[in-house]
Amino acid sequence: MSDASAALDVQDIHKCYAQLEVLKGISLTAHTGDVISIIGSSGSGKSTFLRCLNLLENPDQGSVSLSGEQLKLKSSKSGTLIAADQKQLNRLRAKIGFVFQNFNLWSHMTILENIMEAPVQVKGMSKAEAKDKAEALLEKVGIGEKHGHYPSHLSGGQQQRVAIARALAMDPEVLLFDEPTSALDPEMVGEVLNVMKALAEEGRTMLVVTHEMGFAREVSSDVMFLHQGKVEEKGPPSQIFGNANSERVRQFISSHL
Amino acid sequence: MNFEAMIEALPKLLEGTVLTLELVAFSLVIGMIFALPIALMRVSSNGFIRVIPYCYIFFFRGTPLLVQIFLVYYGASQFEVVRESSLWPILREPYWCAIIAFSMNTGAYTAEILRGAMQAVPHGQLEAARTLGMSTPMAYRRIVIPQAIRIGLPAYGNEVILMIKGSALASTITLLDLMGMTRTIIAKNYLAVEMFLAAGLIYLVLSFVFTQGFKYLELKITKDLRPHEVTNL
Repeated sequence: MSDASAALDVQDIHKCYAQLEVLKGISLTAHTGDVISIIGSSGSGKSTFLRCLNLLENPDQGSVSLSGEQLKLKSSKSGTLIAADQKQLNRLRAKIGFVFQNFNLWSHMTILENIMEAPVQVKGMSKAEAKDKAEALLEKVGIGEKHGHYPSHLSGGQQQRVAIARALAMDPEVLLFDEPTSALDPEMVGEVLNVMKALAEEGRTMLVVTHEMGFAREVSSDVMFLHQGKVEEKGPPSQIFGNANSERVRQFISSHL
Repeated sequence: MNFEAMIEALPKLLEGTVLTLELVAFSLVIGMIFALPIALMRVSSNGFIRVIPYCYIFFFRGTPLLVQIFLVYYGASQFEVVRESSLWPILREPYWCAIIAFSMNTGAYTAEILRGAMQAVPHGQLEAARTLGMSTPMAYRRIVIPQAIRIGLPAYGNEVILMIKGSALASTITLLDLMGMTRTIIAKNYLAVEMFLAAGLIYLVLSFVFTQGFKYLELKITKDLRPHEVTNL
């Protein structure tokens, strides 16, 4: 079942909120260079699944491995799984880039400081090196000239591109995107998707929860459709968007294109 | 109105003002040192850790400052253990009694201000720190507390003003702070209105200076909250 050579291997994630079972056993394996889009209607558990992978949410059951290293988990008093080794969790989190729907840039730091922060504080990189790296990353996401600006001075699309640069600064092995364009004005969606597309073309391993069907179809290597906490269907985009086996998937696709 | 007497009393009143400022400054610094760990304990996920600061804050916010001063000044000496302890030379001085009571009092308020401010920092800010591999202490030190300070600063400025005015209670335990000095002078010259007016004006000046100071500080550390044009202050 589980695959040690995978960049990210997730087995049988379950998650309940009180009586409501949000995730009913979801597994996923991403190999290096895979871009997996996770789609489905709202409430299907997409975001919760993604947040369980680095324990922003604590699953009730399941396992996560990054490049063959299994995240050590133990049961908490409330019955959910928590990290058995906080240091290991922090170390693995540093290798899993996470991009939020609401960017979550640190508002008291300039965008350059936002990007430098984790490499300097977590990895112990020198400030000079982190600055060079941050500048190169800002250049890469197309915001080279705004170093000294604070996040609140940027548009949503620019903030999200900075957030992507911040995640990249840690040289993550896997990038997780949690509806990265859902909080953006329509005209800004494209600039963020272009950055993500470029990352996919670089061969980065990415999991993308999205409502952007065009992106899912063109960029991903695999598409996973979730429905009520279960994988309804998984396959290459040609299958999901062309001739899905599930009637529900076909309906969803036809109403979203 | 006897203005001449007011001017005549000024040197003495300023002498009292120095003591007032000393008491306030000491108390604020000690209170601040108290406040951070207490606020952090207040936001702990562990119920046992939360209850200690809760009781402390409950007491110091719920009782008059005057009662607290009297409890320290008259209360401590009731216990033989205290009288025989090495702390007695300190606890016997009204000066230190006032500072202890003020520090504990302002510490409780400051802790509450900090707690509220820390909880007002959007949760996503902490989550972002977590996803990048920061430990909880590091995330608090680098992300949450710096933002909490900006959020709590206006309320803290208010607390400082309250402390300056509250320090007048030091006069009740024989200290010759601004208020104590004023009353001593009145006992000699019977010019109650003039002397209280002069003292009131000095308190007003102190409050004004501190308000302006905090206003400037706020402008300095909340650059990102304003449009870009005015950031180069």
